[in-house]
Amino acid sequence: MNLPLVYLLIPYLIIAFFGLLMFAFNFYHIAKFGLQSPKTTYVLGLYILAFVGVIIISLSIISQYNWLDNISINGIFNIQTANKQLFL
Amino acid sequence: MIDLKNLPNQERDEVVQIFLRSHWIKLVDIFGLSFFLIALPFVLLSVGKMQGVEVTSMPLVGPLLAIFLGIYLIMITMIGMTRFTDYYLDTWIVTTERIINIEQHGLFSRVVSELHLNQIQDVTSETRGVAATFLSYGDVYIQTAGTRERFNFKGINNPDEVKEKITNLIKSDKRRHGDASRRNELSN
Repeated sequence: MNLPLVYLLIPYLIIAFFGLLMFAFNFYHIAKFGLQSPKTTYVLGLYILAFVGVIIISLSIISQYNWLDNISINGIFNIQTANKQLFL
Repeated sequence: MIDLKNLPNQERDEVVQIFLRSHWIKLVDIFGLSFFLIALPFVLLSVGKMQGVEVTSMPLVGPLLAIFLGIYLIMITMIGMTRFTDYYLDTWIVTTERIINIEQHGLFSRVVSELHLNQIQDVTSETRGVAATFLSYGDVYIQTAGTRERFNFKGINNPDEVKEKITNLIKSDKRRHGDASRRNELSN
């Protein structure tokens, strides 16, 4: 039985969405309850940079692989072929 | 946003005297830990590469590691951001009339309380530890006569100086409005 590698991206997308929500909550709190000063504007700018930066870095790490490949599930549970499939 | 020139329920002659946040040492903790945790997997991968272990080029381990690393980076950044928001929004405002204590607990809990200066009975500053002594940060406790919870300015810069300023403000406020802390004490 073959499992498309692309399925592994699902947890990543869920966490990235969760990260987007966390970013939005943090941004909203600073914008709503922060002190009215240029410092708060810099903080909001830094938040945008940090979030966009981390998404770009994580996407660049992930994009190094071909996610259209398949992996054999039976192969993983077969000791003889597991080493070959996982590590070689 | 909080405008120091236009506070909620501000009296006509009320002026902001002190605006406080925790000492910058807390930022070192937030940013230091985040940078360390972000750098850690890259350092481990580089060490592995130098030792000849190329985990990133293994057929299934490589993609799994990439997914894990992507998730890990997002989580560490978001935790760091939330900790910074907590730091940035924990503030204390001392005006000529009152003390406003704003505490942010995580993302979904925020406590704003205020105390009139003439209700204050005791102000205590405390500096504890080697780092706190050298970098001059510590706590200031504000106590009223009643059973109300005391205010705690946690890890602020120059606690002794802040204590002195607040004590002077209390004295001049009690001259204007009378000593409510004594009145409460006598009525109890």
